[in-house]
Amino acid sequence: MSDFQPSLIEDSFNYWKKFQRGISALSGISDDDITIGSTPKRIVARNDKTTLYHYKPRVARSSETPLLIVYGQIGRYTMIDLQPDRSVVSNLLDKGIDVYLIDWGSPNRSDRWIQFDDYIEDYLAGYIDIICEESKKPNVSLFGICEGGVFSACYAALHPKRVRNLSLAVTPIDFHADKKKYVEGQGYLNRWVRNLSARALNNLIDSYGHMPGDVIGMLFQEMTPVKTLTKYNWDLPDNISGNHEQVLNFLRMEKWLSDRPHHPGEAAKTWLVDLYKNNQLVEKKFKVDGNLVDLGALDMPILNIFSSFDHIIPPSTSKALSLFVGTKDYSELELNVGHIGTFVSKKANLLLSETLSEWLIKR
Amino acid sequence: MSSKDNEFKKFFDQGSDFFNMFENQMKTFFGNPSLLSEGLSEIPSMESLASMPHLDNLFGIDKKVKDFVKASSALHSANTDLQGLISKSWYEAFQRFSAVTGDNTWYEKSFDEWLEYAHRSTDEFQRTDEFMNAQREVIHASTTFRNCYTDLVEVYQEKNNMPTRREIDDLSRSVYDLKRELKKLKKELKLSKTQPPYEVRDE
Repeated sequence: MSDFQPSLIEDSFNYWKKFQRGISALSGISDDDITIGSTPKRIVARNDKTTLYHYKPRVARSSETPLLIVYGQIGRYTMIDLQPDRSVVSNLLDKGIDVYLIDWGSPNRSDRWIQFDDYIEDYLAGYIDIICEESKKPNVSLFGICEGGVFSACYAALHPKRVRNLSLAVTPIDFHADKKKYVEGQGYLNRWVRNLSARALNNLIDSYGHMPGDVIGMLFQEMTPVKTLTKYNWDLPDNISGNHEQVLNFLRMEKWLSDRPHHPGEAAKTWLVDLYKNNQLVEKKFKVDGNLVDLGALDMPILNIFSSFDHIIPPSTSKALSLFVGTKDYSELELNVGHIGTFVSKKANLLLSETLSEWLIKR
Repeated sequence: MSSKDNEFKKFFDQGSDFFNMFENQMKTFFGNPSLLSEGLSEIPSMESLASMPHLDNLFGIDKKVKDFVKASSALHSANTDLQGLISKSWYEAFQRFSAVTGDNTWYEKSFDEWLEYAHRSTDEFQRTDEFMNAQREVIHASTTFRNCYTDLVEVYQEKNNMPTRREIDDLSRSVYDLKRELKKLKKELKLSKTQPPYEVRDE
Protein backbone atom coordinates (compact mmCIF):
# COMPACT_ATOMS: atom_id res chain seq x y z
CA MET A 1 0.00 0.00 0.00
CA SER A 2 2.96 2.30 0.62
CA ASP A 3 3.81 2.34 -3.11
CA PHE A 4 0.25 2.99 -4.06
CA GLN A 5 -0.34 6.62 -3.07
CA PRO A 6 2.76 8.30 -4.60
CA SER A 7 2.28 6.50 -7.92
CA LEU A 8 -1.36 7.36 -8.06
CA ILE A 9 -0.62 11.05 -7.44
CA GLU A 10 2.24 11.03 -9.94
CA ASP A 11 0.12 9.24 -12.55
CA SER A 12 -2.77 11.65 -12.04
CA PHE A 13 -0.43 14.62 -12.36
CA ASN A 14 1.14 13.28 -15.57
CA TYR A 15 -2.27 12.47 -17.00
CA TRP A 16 -3.51 15.98 -16.26
CA LYS A 17 -0.38 17.50 -17.84
CA LYS A 18 -0.94 15.40 -20.98
CA PHE A 19 -4.56 16.51 -21.09
CA GLN A 20 -3.56 20.17 -20.76
CA ARG A 21 -1.01 19.79 -23.57
CA GLY A 22 -3.74 18.24 -25.72
CA ILE A 23 -6.23 21.03 -25.09
CA SER A 24 -3.58 23.60 -25.89
CA ALA A 25 -2.69 21.72 -29.14
CA LEU A 26 -6.37 21.56 -30.16
CA SER A 27 -6.93 25.25 -29.49
CA GLY A 28 -4.35 26.11 -32.17
CA ILE A 29 -6.11 24.07 -34.88
CA SER A 30 -9.17 25.08 -36.93
CA ASP A 31 -11.49 23.03 -39.14
CA ASP A 32 -9.67 24.34 -42.22
CA ASP A 33 -6.44 22.73 -41.04
CA ILE A 34 -7.99 19.24 -41.13
CA THR A 35 -7.96 18.61 -44.86
CA ILE A 36 -8.42 15.14 -46.32
CA GLY A 37 -8.60 13.90 -49.92
CA SER A 38 -6.65 16.94 -51.07
CA THR A 39 -4.63 15.51 -53.99
CA PRO A 40 -5.60 17.64 -57.06
CA LYS A 41 -8.18 16.03 -59.35
CA ARG A 42 -10.79 16.97 -61.91
CA ILE A 43 -14.36 15.80 -62.38
CA VAL A 44 -14.65 13.66 -65.50
CA ALA A 45 -18.31 12.64 -65.30
CA ARG A 46 -21.27 12.24 -62.96
CA ASN A 47 -24.02 9.64 -62.80
CA ASP A 48 -26.75 10.17 -60.16
CA LYS A 49 -24.83 11.02 -56.97
CA THR A 50 -21.63 9.29 -58.05
CA THR A 51 -18.62 11.07 -59.55
CA LEU A 52 -15.67 9.92 -61.65
CA TYR A 53 -12.45 11.80 -60.87
CA HIS A 54 -9.15 11.90 -62.73
CA TYR A 55 -6.05 12.81 -60.70
CA LYS A 56 -3.64 15.35 -62.11
CA PRO A 57 -0.51 13.48 -63.34
CA ARG A 58 2.81 14.48 -61.74
CA VAL A 59 5.41 12.62 -63.75
CA ALA A 60 5.63 10.89 -67.13
CA ARG A 61 3.45 7.79 -67.37
CA SER A 62 5.10 4.51 -66.45
CA SER A 63 2.04 2.41 -67.30
CA GLU A 64 -0.12 2.99 -70.38
CA THR A 65 -3.25 1.44 -68.93
CA PRO A 66 -5.24 3.78 -66.66
CA LEU A 67 -5.95 2.61 -63.12
CA LEU A 68 -9.46 2.99 -61.72
CA ILE A 69 -9.72 2.92 -57.92
CA VAL A 70 -13.05 1.54 -56.69
CA TYR A 71 -13.70 2.13 -53.00
CA GLY A 72 -16.78 0.65 -51.29
CA GLN A 73 -19.98 2.43 -50.31
CA ILE A 74 -19.12 1.70 -46.67
CA GLY A 75 -16.86 4.57 -45.68
CA ARG A 76 -15.45 7.28 -47.91
CA TYR A 77 -12.71 7.08 -50.58
CA THR A 78 -10.76 9.81 -48.76
CA MET A 79 -9.20 7.01 -46.67
CA ILE A 80 -6.72 6.37 -49.49
CA ASP A 81 -5.83 10.05 -49.68
CA LEU A 82 -6.07 10.95 -46.01
CA GLN A 83 -2.94 13.07 -45.73
CA PRO A 84 -0.21 14.06 -48.19
CA ASP A 85 2.55 11.91 -46.65
CA ARG A 86 0.34 8.80 -46.33
CA SER A 87 -1.68 8.88 -49.52
CA VAL A 88 -1.94 5.80 -51.71
CA VAL A 89 -3.19 8.02 -54.54
CA SER A 90 -0.27 10.39 -54.15
CA ASN A 91 2.26 7.54 -54.10
CA LEU A 92 0.78 6.01 -57.27
CA LEU A 93 0.92 9.38 -59.06
CA ASP A 94 4.58 9.75 -58.05
CA LYS A 95 5.24 6.38 -59.71
CA GLY A 96 3.69 7.54 -62.99
CA ILE A 97 0.36 5.68 -62.74
CA ASP A 98 -2.63 7.33 -64.45
CA VAL A 99 -5.22 7.32 -61.65
CA TYR A 100 -9.02 7.59 -61.86
CA LEU A 101 -11.35 7.16 -58.88
CA ILE A 102 -15.08 6.73 -58.27
CA ASP A 103 -16.71 8.67 -55.44
CA TRP A 104 -20.03 7.02 -54.60
CA GLY A 105 -21.31 10.25 -53.05
CA SER A 106 -23.78 10.56 -50.21
CA PRO A 107 -26.91 8.50 -50.86
CA ASN A 108 -29.96 9.24 -48.73
CA ARG A 109 -33.34 7.55 -48.25
CA SER A 110 -34.45 8.50 -51.75
CA ASP A 111 -31.64 6.24 -53.04
CA ARG A 112 -32.83 3.23 -51.07
CA TRP A 113 -33.81 1.37 -54.27
CA ILE A 114 -30.34 1.42 -55.83
CA GLN A 115 -29.27 -2.18 -56.30
CA PHE A 116 -25.91 -3.91 -56.05
CA ASP A 117 -26.27 -4.55 -59.81
CA ASP A 118 -26.44 -0.79 -60.45
CA TYR A 119 -23.06 -0.28 -58.82
CA ILE A 120 -21.52 -2.80 -61.21
CA GLU A 121 -23.43 -2.58 -64.49
CA ASP A 122 -24.46 1.06 -64.41
CA TYR A 123 -21.95 3.17 -62.46
CA LEU A 124 -18.76 1.10 -62.72
CA ALA A 125 -19.37 -0.17 -66.28
CA GLY A 126 -20.39 3.31 -67.44
CA TYR A 127 -17.30 4.96 -65.99
CA ILE A 128 -14.99 2.30 -67.43
CA ASP A 129 -16.49 3.05 -70.87
CA ILE A 130 -15.76 6.75 -70.35
CA ILE A 131 -12.16 6.10 -69.24
CA CYS A 132 -11.57 3.86 -72.24
CA GLU A 133 -13.00 6.52 -74.56
CA GLU A 134 -11.00 9.32 -72.92
CA SER A 135 -7.70 7.41 -72.80
CA LYS A 136 -8.28 5.63 -76.11
CA LYS A 137 -7.46 2.30 -74.49
CA PRO A 138 -9.44 -0.93 -74.84
CA ASN A 139 -9.33 -1.68 -71.11
CA VAL A 140 -8.42 -0.43 -67.63
CA SER A 141 -6.71 -1.79 -64.54
CA LEU A 142 -8.93 -1.97 -61.47
CA PHE A 143 -7.96 -1.46 -57.83
CA GLY A 144 -10.98 -2.47 -55.71
CA ILE A 145 -11.06 -1.87 -51.99
CA CYS A 146 -13.28 -3.78 -49.52
CA GLU A 147 -16.85 -3.72 -50.92
CA GLY A 148 -15.40 -1.94 -53.97
CA GLY A 149 -13.23 -5.02 -54.42
CA VAL A 150 -16.35 -7.13 -54.75
CA PHE A 151 -17.81 -4.67 -57.28
CA SER A 152 -14.52 -4.88 -59.21
CA ALA A 153 -14.23 -8.68 -59.05
CA CYS A 154 -17.83 -9.08 -60.26
CA TYR A 155 -17.32 -6.60 -63.11
CA ALA A 156 -14.04 -8.25 -64.13
CA ALA A 157 -15.65 -11.71 -64.10
CA LEU A 158 -18.52 -10.50 -66.26
CA HIS A 159 -16.38 -8.35 -68.61
CA PRO A 160 -12.88 -9.87 -68.53
CA LYS A 161 -11.79 -8.16 -71.74
CA ARG A 162 -12.39 -4.73 -70.24
CA VAL A 163 -10.01 -5.40 -67.30
CA ARG A 164 -6.29 -5.66 -68.01
CA ASN A 165 -5.21 -6.14 -64.39
CA LEU A 166 -7.26 -6.72 -61.25
CA SER A 167 -5.92 -5.72 -57.85
CA LEU A 168 -7.99 -6.07 -54.71
CA ALA A 169 -7.34 -4.85 -51.19
CA VAL A 170 -9.02 -6.14 -47.99
CA THR A 171 -11.80 -7.65 -50.11
CA PRO A 172 -13.98 -10.48 -48.76
CA ILE A 173 -14.57 -13.24 -51.31
CA ASP A 174 -15.41 -16.34 -49.23
CA PHE A 175 -17.56 -14.70 -46.54
CA HIS A 176 -17.63 -17.89 -44.45
CA ALA A 177 -13.89 -18.61 -44.48
CA ASP A 178 -13.61 -17.16 -40.95
CA LYS A 179 -15.62 -20.15 -39.63
CA LYS A 180 -12.81 -22.56 -40.41
CA LYS A 181 -10.38 -21.11 -37.88
CA TYR A 182 -11.11 -18.50 -35.23
CA VAL A 183 -8.53 -15.74 -34.94
CA GLU A 184 -8.79 -13.50 -31.87
CA GLY A 185 -10.62 -10.27 -32.58
CA GLN A 186 -11.70 -11.20 -36.10
CA GLY A 187 -15.00 -12.06 -37.76
CA TYR A 188 -17.44 -10.11 -35.56
CA LEU A 189 -19.37 -8.75 -38.54
CA ASN A 190 -19.50 -12.19 -40.21
CA ARG A 191 -20.92 -13.74 -37.03
CA TRP A 192 -23.32 -10.83 -36.49
CA VAL A 193 -24.86 -11.39 -39.93
CA ARG A 194 -24.99 -15.20 -39.64
CA ASN A 195 -26.74 -14.85 -36.28
CA LEU A 196 -29.75 -13.26 -37.99
CA SER A 197 -32.18 -14.80 -40.45
CA ALA A 198 -32.41 -13.36 -43.98
CA ARG A 199 -35.87 -12.09 -43.06
CA ALA A 200 -34.58 -10.33 -39.95
CA LEU A 201 -31.80 -8.66 -41.96
CA ASN A 202 -34.23 -7.51 -44.67
CA ASN A 203 -36.67 -6.21 -42.03
CA LEU A 204 -33.86 -4.40 -40.24
CA ILE A 205 -32.80 -2.59 -43.42
CA ASP A 206 -36.42 -1.88 -44.43
CA SER A 207 -37.14 -0.36 -41.03
CA TYR A 208 -34.50 2.30 -41.77
CA GLY A 209 -35.04 2.32 -45.54
CA HIS A 210 -31.27 2.09 -45.94
CA MET A 211 -28.27 1.21 -43.78
CA PRO A 212 -27.58 4.49 -42.00
CA GLY A 213 -23.92 5.46 -41.79
CA ASP A 214 -24.09 5.89 -38.03
CA VAL A 215 -25.55 2.39 -37.59
CA ILE A 216 -22.70 0.95 -39.67
CA GLY A 217 -20.29 2.98 -37.54
CA MET A 218 -21.88 1.65 -34.36
CA LEU A 219 -21.48 -1.89 -35.62
CA PHE A 220 -17.76 -1.26 -36.17
CA GLN A 221 -17.49 0.21 -32.67
CA GLU A 222 -19.11 -2.90 -31.19
CA MET A 223 -16.23 -4.97 -32.58
CA THR A 224 -13.88 -3.38 -30.06
CA PRO A 225 -16.16 -2.17 -27.24
CA VAL A 226 -13.41 -1.46 -24.72
CA LYS A 227 -11.43 0.65 -27.16
CA THR A 228 -14.64 2.45 -28.13
CA LEU A 229 -15.45 3.17 -24.47
CA THR A 230 -12.04 4.64 -23.69
CA LYS A 231 -11.24 6.41 -26.96
CA TYR A 232 -12.69 9.82 -26.13
CA ASN A 233 -11.81 9.88 -22.43
CA TRP A 234 -8.99 7.72 -21.02
CA ASP A 235 -7.08 7.47 -24.28
CA LEU A 236 -7.84 10.99 -25.53
CA PRO A 237 -4.85 12.79 -23.91
CA ASP A 238 -2.48 10.36 -25.65
CA ASN A 239 -4.07 11.14 -29.01
CA ILE A 240 -4.07 14.91 -28.74
CA SER A 241 -0.91 15.63 -26.78
CA GLY A 242 1.68 14.80 -29.47
CA ASN A 243 3.28 17.28 -31.84
CA HIS A 244 1.23 19.36 -34.28
CA GLU A 245 1.42 16.81 -37.12
CA GLN A 246 0.48 13.89 -34.85
CA VAL A 247 -2.58 15.75 -33.58
CA LEU A 248 -3.58 16.65 -37.14
CA ASN A 249 -3.25 12.98 -38.16
CA PHE A 250 -5.59 11.98 -35.33
CA LEU A 251 -8.09 14.66 -36.33
CA ARG A 252 -7.95 13.67 -40.01
CA MET A 253 -8.90 10.13 -39.07
CA GLU A 254 -11.71 11.46 -36.86
CA LYS A 255 -12.96 13.56 -39.77
CA TRP A 256 -13.01 10.48 -41.96
CA LEU A 257 -14.78 8.41 -39.29
CA SER A 258 -17.52 11.00 -38.78
CA ASP A 259 -18.24 11.18 -42.52
CA ARG A 260 -19.72 7.71 -43.01
CA PRO A 261 -22.22 7.64 -45.89
CA HIS A 262 -25.52 5.76 -45.77
CA HIS A 263 -25.72 2.55 -47.77
CA PRO A 264 -28.69 2.23 -50.18
CA GLY A 265 -31.15 -0.33 -48.76
CA GLU A 266 -31.56 -2.75 -51.65
CA ALA A 267 -27.80 -2.91 -52.27
CA ALA A 268 -27.24 -3.41 -48.53
CA LYS A 269 -29.61 -6.41 -48.58
CA THR A 270 -27.54 -8.01 -51.34
CA TRP A 271 -24.31 -7.26 -49.45
CA LEU A 272 -25.53 -8.66 -46.14
CA VAL A 273 -27.95 -11.43 -47.15
CA ASP A 274 -26.73 -12.77 -50.51
CA LEU A 275 -23.01 -12.31 -49.85
CA TYR A 276 -22.30 -12.19 -46.11
CA LYS A 277 -25.02 -14.62 -45.06
CA ASN A 278 -25.53 -16.90 -48.05
CA ASN A 279 -21.97 -16.67 -49.41
CA GLN A 280 -23.33 -16.74 -52.98
CA LEU A 281 -20.12 -15.52 -54.63
CA VAL A 282 -18.15 -18.69 -53.92
CA GLU A 283 -21.27 -20.88 -54.03
CA LYS A 284 -21.52 -19.84 -57.71
CA LYS A 285 -25.03 -18.50 -57.19
CA PHE A 286 -24.42 -14.76 -57.29
CA LYS A 287 -26.03 -12.95 -60.20
CA VAL A 288 -25.64 -9.40 -61.47
CA ASP A 289 -28.41 -8.21 -63.79
CA GLY A 290 -29.40 -11.85 -64.23
CA ASN A 291 -25.89 -12.98 -65.20
CA LEU A 292 -24.08 -15.51 -63.02
CA VAL A 293 -20.74 -14.28 -61.65
CA ASP A 294 -18.14 -16.98 -62.23
CA LEU A 295 -14.87 -16.16 -60.46
CA GLY A 296 -13.22 -18.74 -62.71
CA ALA A 297 -13.61 -16.19 -65.53
CA LEU A 298 -11.02 -13.98 -63.80
CA ASP A 299 -8.19 -14.80 -66.21
CA MET A 300 -6.31 -11.46 -65.99
CA PRO A 301 -3.30 -10.88 -63.69
CA ILE A 302 -4.49 -10.56 -60.08
CA LEU A 303 -2.85 -8.93 -57.06
CA ASN A 304 -4.63 -9.72 -53.79
CA ILE A 305 -3.73 -7.52 -50.80
CA PHE A 306 -4.92 -8.28 -47.26
CA SER A 307 -3.88 -7.54 -43.70
CA SER A 308 -3.10 -10.03 -40.93
CA PHE A 309 -4.79 -8.01 -38.17
CA ASP A 310 -7.86 -6.94 -40.11
CA HIS A 311 -10.74 -7.29 -37.61
CA ILE A 312 -13.34 -6.13 -40.16
CA ILE A 313 -12.44 -8.35 -43.12
CA PRO A 314 -10.71 -11.48 -41.78
CA PRO A 315 -7.70 -12.22 -44.03
CA SER A 316 -8.94 -15.78 -44.58
CA THR A 317 -12.02 -14.40 -46.38
CA SER A 318 -9.76 -12.47 -48.80
CA LYS A 319 -7.08 -15.15 -49.26
CA ALA A 320 -9.77 -17.56 -50.44
CA LEU A 321 -9.80 -15.75 -53.80
CA SER A 322 -6.84 -17.86 -54.97
CA LEU A 323 -9.02 -20.99 -54.81
CA PHE A 324 -11.58 -19.73 -57.27
CA VAL A 325 -9.85 -17.64 -59.94
CA GLY A 326 -8.95 -18.83 -63.43
CA THR A 327 -5.71 -16.87 -63.85
CA LYS A 328 -2.19 -18.28 -63.64
CA ASP A 329 -0.75 -14.86 -62.81
CA TYR A 330 -1.91 -14.55 -59.19
CA SER A 331 0.09 -12.84 -56.45
CA GLU A 332 -0.54 -11.82 -52.86
CA LEU A 333 0.68 -9.16 -50.48
CA GLU A 334 0.05 -9.66 -46.76
CA LEU A 335 0.52 -6.61 -44.54
CA ASN A 336 1.00 -6.75 -40.76
CA VAL A 337 -1.65 -4.16 -39.96
CA GLY A 338 -5.41 -3.80 -39.48
CA HIS A 339 -8.15 -2.89 -41.96
CA ILE A 340 -7.62 0.88 -41.97
CA GLY A 341 -3.89 0.56 -41.24
CA THR A 342 -3.58 -0.97 -44.72
CA PHE A 343 -3.96 2.54 -46.11
CA VAL A 344 -2.85 4.88 -43.33
CA SER A 345 0.02 3.11 -41.59
CA LYS A 346 3.16 4.81 -42.90
CA LYS A 347 5.01 1.55 -43.53
CA ALA A 348 2.07 -0.47 -44.89
CA ASN A 349 0.91 2.39 -47.07
CA LEU A 350 4.32 2.67 -48.73
CA LEU A 351 4.69 -1.07 -49.19
CA LEU A 352 1.19 -1.32 -50.69
CA SER A 353 1.78 1.60 -53.08
CA GLU A 354 5.19 0.36 -54.19
CA THR A 355 4.04 -3.23 -54.69
CA LEU A 356 0.94 -2.14 -56.60
CA SER A 357 2.74 0.34 -58.86
CA GLU A 358 5.59 -2.07 -59.68
CA TRP A 359 3.06 -4.83 -60.34
CA LEU A 360 1.11 -2.55 -62.70
CA ILE A 361 4.19 -1.25 -64.49
CA LYS A 362 5.39 -4.82 -65.21
CA ARG A 363 2.03 -5.68 -66.72
CA MET B 1 -30.53 -18.50 -13.44
CA SER B 2 -27.96 -18.28 -10.65
CA SER B 3 -28.45 -15.87 -7.75
CA LYS B 4 -25.78 -13.62 -9.31
CA ASP B 5 -27.73 -13.53 -12.57
CA ASN B 6 -30.88 -12.64 -10.67
CA GLU B 7 -29.11 -9.82 -8.90
CA PHE B 8 -28.00 -8.36 -12.19
CA LYS B 9 -31.43 -8.68 -13.74
CA LYS B 10 -33.05 -7.10 -10.69
CA PHE B 11 -30.59 -4.23 -10.80
CA PHE B 12 -31.29 -3.48 -14.45
CA ASP B 13 -35.03 -4.00 -14.15
CA GLN B 14 -35.17 -1.23 -11.57
CA GLY B 15 -35.37 2.38 -12.59
CA SER B 16 -37.22 3.70 -15.57
CA ASP B 17 -39.32 0.71 -16.58
CA PHE B 18 -42.25 2.96 -17.34
CA PHE B 19 -43.68 0.95 -20.19
CA ASN B 20 -43.88 -2.31 -18.25
CA MET B 21 -45.64 -0.47 -15.47
CA PHE B 22 -48.06 1.09 -17.96
CA GLU B 23 -48.87 -2.24 -19.56
CA ASN B 24 -49.39 -3.96 -16.20
CA GLN B 25 -51.74 -1.22 -15.08
CA MET B 26 -53.70 -1.50 -18.31
CA LYS B 27 -53.97 -5.26 -17.79
CA THR B 28 -55.11 -4.83 -14.20
CA PHE B 29 -57.66 -2.24 -15.22
CA PHE B 30 -59.19 -4.19 -18.09
CA GLY B 31 -58.85 -7.53 -16.39
CA ASN B 32 -60.66 -6.55 -13.20
CA PRO B 33 -64.41 -6.00 -13.66
CA SER B 34 -64.81 -4.41 -10.25
CA LEU B 35 -62.79 -1.46 -11.44
CA LEU B 36 -65.29 -0.69 -14.17
CA SER B 37 -68.94 0.37 -14.01
CA GLU B 38 -71.55 -2.20 -13.00
CA GLY B 39 -73.33 -1.93 -16.37
CA LEU B 40 -70.58 -3.89 -18.10
CA SER B 41 -71.05 -7.52 -17.23
CA GLU B 42 -68.24 -9.00 -19.33
CA ILE B 43 -64.94 -7.24 -19.61
CA PRO B 44 -62.61 -8.53 -22.33
CA SER B 45 -59.03 -9.27 -21.44
CA MET B 46 -56.11 -7.35 -22.97
CA GLU B 47 -55.36 -10.34 -25.22
CA SER B 48 -58.91 -10.53 -26.60
CA LEU B 49 -58.89 -6.75 -27.15
CA ALA B 50 -55.77 -7.17 -29.20
CA SER B 51 -57.42 -9.74 -31.46
CA MET B 52 -60.49 -7.58 -32.13
CA PRO B 53 -60.88 -6.10 -35.61
CA HIS B 54 -58.90 -2.88 -35.92
CA LEU B 55 -60.00 -0.93 -38.93
CA ASP B 56 -58.65 2.57 -39.47
CA ASN B 57 -61.73 4.19 -37.98
CA LEU B 58 -62.39 1.48 -35.40
CA PHE B 59 -59.66 1.21 -32.76
CA GLY B 60 -57.04 1.63 -35.51
CA ILE B 61 -55.05 4.26 -33.64
CA ASP B 62 -55.59 2.50 -30.31
CA LYS B 63 -53.98 -0.64 -31.68
CA LYS B 64 -51.04 1.34 -33.05
CA VAL B 65 -50.55 2.99 -29.66
CA LYS B 66 -50.81 -0.38 -27.94
CA ASP B 67 -48.32 -1.94 -30.40
CA PHE B 68 -45.93 0.93 -29.85
CA VAL B 69 -46.11 0.61 -26.08
CA LYS B 70 -45.65 -3.14 -26.32
CA ALA B 71 -42.68 -2.76 -28.70
CA SER B 72 -41.12 -0.14 -26.41
CA SER B 73 -41.48 -2.49 -23.48
CA ALA B 74 -40.03 -5.42 -25.42
CA LEU B 75 -37.06 -3.31 -26.59
CA HIS B 76 -36.42 -2.11 -23.06
CA SER B 77 -36.54 -5.66 -21.76
CA ALA B 78 -34.23 -7.03 -24.50
CA ASN B 79 -31.78 -4.16 -23.93
CA THR B 80 -31.82 -4.79 -20.19
CA ASP B 81 -31.06 -8.47 -20.70
CA LEU B 82 -28.15 -7.69 -23.06
CA GLN B 83 -26.73 -4.94 -20.83
CA GLY B 84 -27.06 -7.25 -17.84
CA LEU B 85 -25.09 -9.96 -19.61
CA ILE B 86 -22.41 -7.49 -20.70
CA SER B 87 -22.09 -6.09 -17.16
CA LYS B 88 -21.89 -9.61 -15.77
CA SER B 89 -19.08 -10.50 -18.17
CA TRP B 90 -17.19 -7.32 -17.23
CA TYR B 91 -17.67 -8.04 -13.53
CA GLU B 92 -16.40 -11.58 -13.92
CA ALA B 93 -13.47 -10.41 -16.02
CA PHE B 94 -12.60 -7.85 -13.35
CA GLN B 95 -12.74 -10.52 -10.62
CA ARG B 96 -10.37 -12.72 -12.63
CA PHE B 97 -8.05 -9.80 -13.31
CA SER B 98 -8.05 -8.67 -9.65
CA ALA B 99 -7.21 -12.18 -8.50
CA VAL B 100 -4.07 -12.09 -10.62
CA THR B 101 -2.90 -8.52 -10.01
CA GLY B 102 -3.92 -7.90 -6.38
CA ASP B 103 -5.25 -4.64 -4.93
CA ASN B 104 -2.22 -2.38 -4.72
CA THR B 105 -1.31 -1.89 -8.34
CA TRP B 106 -3.76 0.74 -9.54
CA TYR B 107 -1.40 2.88 -11.52
CA GLU B 108 -1.85 4.15 -15.06
CA LYS B 109 0.03 1.15 -16.44
CA SER B 110 -2.11 -1.37 -14.62
CA PHE B 111 -5.29 0.40 -15.71
CA ASP B 112 -4.10 -0.01 -19.29
CA GLU B 113 -3.42 -3.69 -18.52
CA TRP B 114 -6.97 -4.03 -17.19
CA LEU B 115 -8.38 -2.45 -20.36
CA GLU B 116 -6.37 -4.85 -22.51
CA TYR B 117 -7.58 -7.77 -20.39
CA ALA B 118 -11.20 -6.52 -20.62
CA HIS B 119 -10.82 -6.17 -24.40
CA ARG B 120 -9.76 -9.81 -24.77
CA SER B 121 -12.46 -11.02 -22.35
CA THR B 122 -15.16 -9.06 -24.21
CA ASP B 123 -14.01 -10.49 -27.52
CA GLU B 124 -14.33 -13.98 -26.05
CA PHE B 125 -17.71 -13.21 -24.48
CA GLN B 126 -19.09 -11.80 -27.74
CA ARG B 127 -18.71 -15.26 -29.29
CA THR B 128 -20.86 -17.04 -26.70
CA ASP B 129 -24.38 -18.26 -27.50
CA GLU B 130 -25.64 -16.32 -24.50
CA PHE B 131 -24.45 -13.03 -26.02
CA MET B 132 -25.50 -13.89 -29.59
CA ASN B 133 -29.05 -14.80 -28.48
CA ALA B 134 -29.46 -11.64 -26.42
CA GLN B 135 -28.07 -9.51 -29.24
CA ARG B 136 -30.45 -11.13 -31.74
CA GLU B 137 -33.39 -10.31 -29.46
CA VAL B 138 -32.32 -6.67 -29.24
CA ILE B 139 -32.10 -6.41 -33.03
CA HIS B 140 -35.56 -7.97 -33.46
CA ALA B 141 -37.05 -5.75 -30.77
CA SER B 142 -35.47 -2.58 -32.17
CA THR B 143 -36.75 -3.37 -35.69
CA THR B 144 -40.28 -3.92 -34.37
CA PHE B 145 -40.05 -0.75 -32.30
CA ARG B 146 -38.98 1.36 -35.29
CA ASN B 147 -41.81 -0.05 -37.42
CA CYS B 148 -44.42 0.61 -34.69
CA TYR B 149 -43.07 4.11 -34.19
CA THR B 150 -43.28 4.80 -37.94
CA ASP B 151 -46.88 3.53 -37.99
CA LEU B 152 -47.78 5.86 -35.17
CA VAL B 153 -46.05 8.88 -36.71
CA GLU B 154 -47.82 8.22 -40.00
CA VAL B 155 -51.20 8.51 -38.25
CA TYR B 156 -50.21 12.04 -37.21
CA GLN B 157 -48.87 12.84 -40.68
CA GLU B 158 -52.03 11.63 -42.41
CA LYS B 159 -54.29 13.56 -40.04
CA ASN B 160 -52.29 16.70 -40.80
CA ASN B 161 -51.99 16.33 -44.58
CA MET B 162 -48.28 15.69 -44.41
CA PRO B 163 -46.51 13.26 -46.75
CA THR B 164 -45.73 9.97 -45.05
CA ARG B 165 -42.54 7.96 -45.36
CA ARG B 166 -44.33 5.29 -47.37
CA GLU B 167 -45.61 7.88 -49.84
CA ILE B 168 -42.12 9.31 -50.30
CA ASP B 169 -40.77 5.78 -50.73
CA ASP B 170 -43.39 5.16 -53.44
CA LEU B 171 -42.31 8.33 -55.22
CA SER B 172 -38.59 7.57 -54.99
CA ARG B 173 -39.29 4.06 -56.26
CA SER B 174 -41.08 5.47 -59.31
CA VAL B 175 -38.19 7.89 -59.96
CA TYR B 176 -35.68 5.04 -59.62
CA ASP B 177 -37.61 2.79 -62.03
CA LEU B 178 -37.98 5.63 -64.56
CA LYS B 179 -34.28 6.49 -64.34
CA ARG B 180 -33.34 2.86 -64.87
CA GLU B 181 -35.60 2.66 -67.90
CA LEU B 182 -34.17 5.90 -69.27
CA LYS B 183 -30.58 4.72 -68.81
CA LYS B 184 -31.40 1.46 -70.55
CA LEU B 185 -32.87 3.34 -73.51
CA LYS B 186 -29.86 5.69 -73.63
CA LYS B 187 -27.54 2.70 -73.64
CA GLU B 188 -29.44 1.14 -76.52
CA LEU B 189 -29.32 4.46 -78.34
CA LYS B 190 -25.58 4.69 -77.72
CA LEU B 191 -25.05 1.26 -79.19
CA SER B 192 -26.85 2.36 -82.33
CA LYS B 193 -25.37 5.87 -82.55
CA THR B 194 -22.18 5.52 -80.43
CA GLN B 195 -23.35 8.40 -78.25
CA PRO B 196 -22.19 8.43 -74.58
CA PRO B 197 -25.07 8.03 -72.10
CA TYR B 198 -23.45 10.28 -69.50
CA GLU B 199 -22.83 13.96 -69.19
CA VAL B 200 -19.13 14.37 -69.99
CA ARG B 201 -17.45 17.47 -68.61
CA ASP B 202 -14.25 19.14 -69.62
CA GLU B 203 -12.82 21.01 -66.66
